[in-house]
Amino acid sequence: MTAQVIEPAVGAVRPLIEVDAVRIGYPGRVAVERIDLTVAENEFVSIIGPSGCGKSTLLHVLSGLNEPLDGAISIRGREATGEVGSRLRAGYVFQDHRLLPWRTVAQNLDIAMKNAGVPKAEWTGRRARYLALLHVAEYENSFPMNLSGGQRQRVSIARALAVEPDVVLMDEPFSGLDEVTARTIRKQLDATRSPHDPSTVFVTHSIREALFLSDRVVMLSRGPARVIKEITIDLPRPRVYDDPRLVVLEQQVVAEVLQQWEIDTDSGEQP
Amino acid sequence: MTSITLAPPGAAAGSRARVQAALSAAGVLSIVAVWWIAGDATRFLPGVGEVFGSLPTFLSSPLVWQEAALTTWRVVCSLAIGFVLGTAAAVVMTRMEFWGRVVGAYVAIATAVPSTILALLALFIFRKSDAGVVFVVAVTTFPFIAVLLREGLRSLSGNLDEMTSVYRFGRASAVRHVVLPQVLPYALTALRNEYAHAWKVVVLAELFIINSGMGWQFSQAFDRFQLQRVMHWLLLFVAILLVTEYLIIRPAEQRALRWKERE
Amino acid sequence: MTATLTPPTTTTAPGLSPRRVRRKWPGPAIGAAAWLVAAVLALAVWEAVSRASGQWVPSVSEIADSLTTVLSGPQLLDDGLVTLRRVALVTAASVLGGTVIGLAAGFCWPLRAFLRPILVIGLAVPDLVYIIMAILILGATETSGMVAITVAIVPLVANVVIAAVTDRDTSLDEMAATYRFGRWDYARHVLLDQLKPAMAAAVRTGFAFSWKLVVLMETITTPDGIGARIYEAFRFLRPQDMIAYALVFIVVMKFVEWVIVLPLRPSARR
Repeated sequence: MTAQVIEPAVGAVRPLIEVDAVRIGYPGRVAVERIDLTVAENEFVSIIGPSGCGKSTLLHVLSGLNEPLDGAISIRGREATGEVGSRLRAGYVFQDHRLLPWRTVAQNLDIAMKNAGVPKAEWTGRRARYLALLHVAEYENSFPMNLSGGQRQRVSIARALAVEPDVVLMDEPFSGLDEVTARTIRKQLDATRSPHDPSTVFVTHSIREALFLSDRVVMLSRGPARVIKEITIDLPRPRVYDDPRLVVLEQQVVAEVLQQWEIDTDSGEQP
Repeated sequence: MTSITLAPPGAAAGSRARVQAALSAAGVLSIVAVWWIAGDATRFLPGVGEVFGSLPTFLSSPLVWQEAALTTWRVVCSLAIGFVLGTAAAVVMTRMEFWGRVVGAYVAIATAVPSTILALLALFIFRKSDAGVVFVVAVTTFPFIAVLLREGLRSLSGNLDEMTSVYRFGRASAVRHVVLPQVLPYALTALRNEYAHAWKVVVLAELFIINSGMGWQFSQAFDRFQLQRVMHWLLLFVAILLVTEYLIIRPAEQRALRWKERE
Repeated sequence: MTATLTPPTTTTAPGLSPRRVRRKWPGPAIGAAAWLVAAVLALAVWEAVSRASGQWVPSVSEIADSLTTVLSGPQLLDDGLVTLRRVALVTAASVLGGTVIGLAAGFCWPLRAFLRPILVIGLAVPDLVYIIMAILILGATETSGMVAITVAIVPLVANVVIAAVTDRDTSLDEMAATYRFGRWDYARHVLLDQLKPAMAAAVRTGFAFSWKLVVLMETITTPDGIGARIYEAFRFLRPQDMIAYALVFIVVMKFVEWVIVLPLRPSARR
C-alpha cells in the first residue's frame, strides 16, 4: 500500500495581499469608493480605469504612502491595516522615472538597496543581474540625464526589482514613452516572467497593455471608483501583443467598459 | 515691411566662442587704453606705465602680502559664519511656521541696514577688533544666503520625496542623496554672490573699525593723497578677488553640477 | 510637466519637503505676532548687550530719547531732503545708465562679450574705492561722490537687465518670425512685456543700492545729509544719536522702496 501524499489544496495558500472593502481618499474627497482585491504570490494583476479614477491612490495605499479610510488589508493572512508600509516591502515604478539625476545608475540602485536593508555584499551582484535583465547593463556608470526616456524607465524598473520586494507597484510606467519603446519593454517584461517573480500590481489606462501583461485584470469605474469587473487571462506566456485572442478580448472589454464608463458620466458621477 | 529675423541656427558654436573671447580681450584692453589716455589728461591720475612700473616693488614687500592675507582670512571666516547662520535661518524659515516668520523678520531687517551704519555700530560694540570686522561682514552677507537657501528648500521636489518614502529612505540617506543635491545649486549661487559681496564690505569695515588689512591700507593711502598707492592696492585686491573666484569657485560649481551635462 | 496630485501625505519615512501645516490662526495675524515677538526679543537682547558693554552701547531708553530729539528737530527735514535728492539723482542715473547698457548688451552678443570683463572688473572694485578715487581725482565735492556711486551701481543694474533679457522666453520670437511680425509690432507686443520684469528689477536694484551708498558717501565727503549726521554723532561719541538717525533713515528708505515696488510688482503670469 503506498502512502498517500496529501497535497495541500491550492486554495489553502494565503494570498500575499487581501484588500477587503477598502475605501481610499483624502480629507474631503473619496478617490476609491470600495475595492476588494486579492493579489497572490507571483501574480501579475493590472488595474485599469479612466483617468483620475483613483488607480494611483490605490498604489499609494499599497506602498504605505496613504491609509485607507475604511476597510481592512491583510498581508499573508495577517491583519495589516495601518501598517502596510512596514509589513510590505514594495518596489515602485513611477510614471516619471524619479531617478536621482545627480547620481549614476549604479548609485541609484545602491542607495535604494541600502535603504531596503540589503547587505552591501549583495549589491554588485543584484545590480548586474537586474540591469542586465532590463537590457541597460552598459549604462551602469552613466547619469540618468544622458539616457533616453525608455532607458531611464528600465533603470527605474531595475531599481524596483533590485530591492527584491514582496510586490512591485507600477503606476502607468509606459504612458510617457513612445509606442515603439513601450512595446519593446512590455515584450521583454513578459518574456522574462518566471515563477520566482514578485507579485506585481500594474496600473494603466491602456486595456491592451493590461491584457497583454497580466494574469488578471481588474476594471474600475469612474471616481469615486468601485470594481466593475475582473477578468482572468489564461493565455500562456510568452504572449504576442497582436495575438487575435487578445484583440477579441480587448474589443469585448472595451465595449463593456466604455458603456459602463459612459453611464457613470451620464449619471453625473464626475471624478 | 521689414520683419524680424532670427539668428541662423547653424552658426558654428566654435567660431562664435572664439569671437567672444577676442571681444572680451578687447574689452580688457579698452580699459587699459582709457586709463592711458586719462593718465595723460589729468594730473591727478597716475599713468598706466607709472603704476605698473612700480608694481613689482610694491608686490615684493612682505607687509603687503601680510595685509592681504589678513583681509582674506577675515573674509573666509565671515563667510563661513554667514553660511552657518544663513543655513540655520533658511531651515527655520522653511520648517517652522511662527519662528520662521520671526527669523524672517530679522533677515529682512538685516538686508535693510547699510553696511556703513553696521560698521560704525560694530565699532561701539566690539571696539577695535577683528570680531567687529567679522561681525559686520557676516551680518551683511547672511541674509542674502538665507534668502537663497530658503528658495532652494522651498523648491524641493515632492515627486522625489514620494520616491524616498516608498523606498523607505532613512533620514540621513534622504538628506544626503535627495535634499542636499537639490539645494546645492542655490548654495553655490549664494557662495558666488556673497563672496564678492563680502570682499567689498570687508574693505569698508576695515576702514572704519580696525588698523590693519587692505581697507586700512586704502584709507591710509587716501589720507596721504597717494593715488598711486591706492591703485596698487586696488590692482592687488581685484586680482585676488578675480583669481579666487574664477580659479576656485567657478570650477567647483562646474564640477558639482556636471551631472546636468547631456552627452 | 504633468500636473500631479500632491495630497498631504502621511509618510512613514520623514518627509523633507516643506510641510503643509494646518493653521490655527489667520496668516496676517501670525505675521504681525511674529514681528512683535521679533521686536521684543531684539530689544531684550539689545538691552543685555548694552549693559554688558559698559557705557559703549547705548541702552534702549537712551536711544528712544535720542529718537524723540531727532524727530522733533528741524534739522532732520533739511538733511533728509538733501539726502533724498541725492538718492533720487543717483538712482535715476544708475538705472538709466545700467538699463541702456544692459539692453544693448542683452540683445547684441558681441557687445556683451566685449563688456563682460569690464562689468566683472567694475563689480570687483569696492564701492569705497570708487569714492576714494573720485575724491582724489575730481576733488571732495558732492558731484564727485555721486559720480563714483553711479559708476559703482551701473554694472549691477546692467547685469540684472542683461540676465532678464537673455533669460527671456525666446520661443515667442520664433512665433513672431513665422507670423512675420513687423519690427514695431514685435517690440510692442512681444518684447515690451517681457522686459517689464527686467525694468522693475533694475529700478529695485538701483534704488536699493543707491541709498545705501549715498549714506557711505555722505559719511566720508559732504558736510550735510543724513550720512553726515550719522558720522558726526559717531565722531562725537554719541552712539544713541547715531542709531536714532540710522533708524529714521532706514525706516523712511524702506518705506520709499515699498512704495516704488508696489506698482512694479510682477503681474500675475498670463
